[in-house]
Amino acid sequence: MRRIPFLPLLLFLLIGLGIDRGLGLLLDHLFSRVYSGQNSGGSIRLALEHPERQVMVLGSSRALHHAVPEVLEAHLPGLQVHNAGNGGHGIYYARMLQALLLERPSALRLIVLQVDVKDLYGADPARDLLFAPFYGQNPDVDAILQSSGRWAPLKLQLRTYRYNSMLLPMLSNLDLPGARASSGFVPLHGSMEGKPKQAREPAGSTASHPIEPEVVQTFREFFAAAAARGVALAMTFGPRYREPGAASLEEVEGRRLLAALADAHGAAVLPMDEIEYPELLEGALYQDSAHLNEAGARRYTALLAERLLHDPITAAALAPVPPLPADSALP
Amino acid sequence: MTVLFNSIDFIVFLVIVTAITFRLPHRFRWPFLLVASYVFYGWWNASYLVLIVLSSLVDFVLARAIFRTPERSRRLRLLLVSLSLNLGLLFTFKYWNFAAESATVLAHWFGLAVAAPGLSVLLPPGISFYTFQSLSYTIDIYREEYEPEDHLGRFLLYVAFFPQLVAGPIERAGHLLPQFRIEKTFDWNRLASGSQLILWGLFQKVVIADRLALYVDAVYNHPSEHNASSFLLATYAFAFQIYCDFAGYSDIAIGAARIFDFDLMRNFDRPYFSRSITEFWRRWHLSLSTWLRDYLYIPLGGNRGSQLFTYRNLLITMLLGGLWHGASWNFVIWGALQGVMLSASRLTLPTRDRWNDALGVPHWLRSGLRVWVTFHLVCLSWVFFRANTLADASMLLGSLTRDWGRPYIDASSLLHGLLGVAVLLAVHLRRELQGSVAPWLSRAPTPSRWVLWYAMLFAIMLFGVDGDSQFIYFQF
Repeated sequence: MRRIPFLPLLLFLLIGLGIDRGLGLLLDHLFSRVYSGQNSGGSIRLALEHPERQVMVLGSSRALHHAVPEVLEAHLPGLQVHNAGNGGHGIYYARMLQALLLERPSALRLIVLQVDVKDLYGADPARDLLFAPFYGQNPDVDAILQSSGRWAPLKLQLRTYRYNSMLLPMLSNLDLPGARASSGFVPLHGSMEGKPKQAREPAGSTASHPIEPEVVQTFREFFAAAAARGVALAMTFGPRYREPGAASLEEVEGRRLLAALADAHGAAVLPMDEIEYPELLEGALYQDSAHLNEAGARRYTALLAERLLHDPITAAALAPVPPLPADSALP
Repeated sequence: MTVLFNSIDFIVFLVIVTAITFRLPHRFRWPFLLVASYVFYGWWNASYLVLIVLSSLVDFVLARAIFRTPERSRRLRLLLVSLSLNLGLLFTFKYWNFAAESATVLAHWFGLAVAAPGLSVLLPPGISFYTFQSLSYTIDIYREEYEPEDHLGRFLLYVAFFPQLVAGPIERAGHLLPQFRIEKTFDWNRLASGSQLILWGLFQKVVIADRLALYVDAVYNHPSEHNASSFLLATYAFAFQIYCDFAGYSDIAIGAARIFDFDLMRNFDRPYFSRSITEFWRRWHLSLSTWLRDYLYIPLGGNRGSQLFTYRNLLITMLLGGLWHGASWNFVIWGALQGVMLSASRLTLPTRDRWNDALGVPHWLRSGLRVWVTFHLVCLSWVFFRANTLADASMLLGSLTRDWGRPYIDASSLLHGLLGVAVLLAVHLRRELQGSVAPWLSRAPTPSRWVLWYAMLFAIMLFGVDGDSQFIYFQF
């Protein structure tokens, strides 16, 4: 084998690293101007942009399209609400966003976490690389990002890679007017025709898929982190357009597990589903069997607000904070 | 699964194997490459190795026996043993359950309440490829096209050579085997050239194919939720997804082999620039189409008889070609469509030429129309290739007659994919009009070549779908 031409190889590598760093700086700058878009990371930046908002809703598209901040604010006077849900994302997204929120000074008092139980059976941290631009800023975020693949710790060293699949969405959401003031909620339109999904006999007596221990651990960390910071937590499952009893065994067992975890960490469990609220079982309120349309979301949010005001855990977090005495100035 | 080409595992594997191979004396290279190939293949499940070794050993022995036997009938019997073993393996692992299900359905049609037994077996990766490659060897020996390989190790390597083992190109012994006898020296230009091809293959796979797959899967996996506009868009997207997935794989395979100074056959030649279905099959999956031509179509009689006889041979060849792709009626229909289109193309060509001449249609318009029509005929057949079931294919095609409206748009996937396709078409157009870019690349100054390298690398990092997605043809 001939002598290896080290010099050209080294030069190629160094120039490549330089381009990576330069592109990374440019991408960081572009990212700092994005506050909207589900695939651009803008919704993450928007949530972090509002530390004054006392109530944060986290979860998947069933949070994004269901919780209407202005309805909650109308029922919770004096409080500001932000919807940080993101379609296609679950507990790993919520945990990373929570980690970034809690490390910053904020007025946050309550997190409403809308849970998709199917996360327990197949959440994949590789879907949440939207947080890669924050790599190196928070150990909890780093830990989840590094678990997204065997070579993730190496890939994340490359600044360009951290913006994988984000450049075009960032460009299309760059400096959008009004984006920074958004409350995060995205309404859906359309309605369902036909009957709700029928209940059926389960195929066995136990779930056929195993629950993933890493996901359970992430839920545990989520609950613990909120409790450690004195932020109240309410876990919801949300309604679907289906008959009571149509839930799978996996969902039933998953809910049971999550409710036990929530109880253990002092979090409120508010199912807010079609079983608790049969009045939500109207096709006119749904865009599809899993998502409420705007009318349905407003009705649902009003019901959610009432529950939050009456649940002892969440009501305490939402109670007005008495003003400080006149002579208690901060040092 | 084996080591995936679109993974860092493969890059690490390739670097290590390259470094060690060229450090070894020539006589130790074939054993090392053979072991490396078996490690590559048995990465996740070593039991896969039993079949490939068994198939290789039997064909090695049979080929030598065929060569040494002067009596024609005995030579034929030995060939039939090879055919039975290879096709028997393929049938058992790939087609048994399909045959059993079809037989059960047929029995029920005739009022018989019987159920043919199924087999609980996993499909070994690459079995369709290496059985065909091994079969072509014994058939060529039977035809006395060359002498059998004396060296068992080199023959085992011919069947199992890792760059082309899992999804081709399906090599011919006359082309690949002699290359293993030649002592190779390491060459930096070849490393650069092979690496460029690997990078181009990765670009096609992760930037174009995997990105378009997100949209295609959303539509084709939920056909009842989408209208004709979405279906049409998804079908066009699939046309480029399957091309870039398979051509990308082939380029990675050819590039990897080139680093070791092995030349693998070209597998694709800009197929969507074809002006007829006949031309399409001279540009698409060349290693399979030439295999089918040489070992099925021509032995059946090819085009040496009447027109009807030719159409029969085309239909049988393409039906079996379709079945080779997968054990389902979707692939049978896809293959049948190819056969019908090939026959129709031959039948109507003289008439079409006369009409075009009579109407004075200029050559450029004729070619353009033919390319456009051929592309859409191919897309029609892709519906059956991609749909999960025949019922889905019918539903999707049926929607064309009634269900037009705004298409489902996944802006991110489509925009990323479109940009990639634009780059692909620009490259292909240049090659179509001015020939291969390789000579230009090799003459270009170093800074220009480095700019191209960086552009592809950063395009993959920024726009490629991250994750270990399989190649479509791995399932065959």
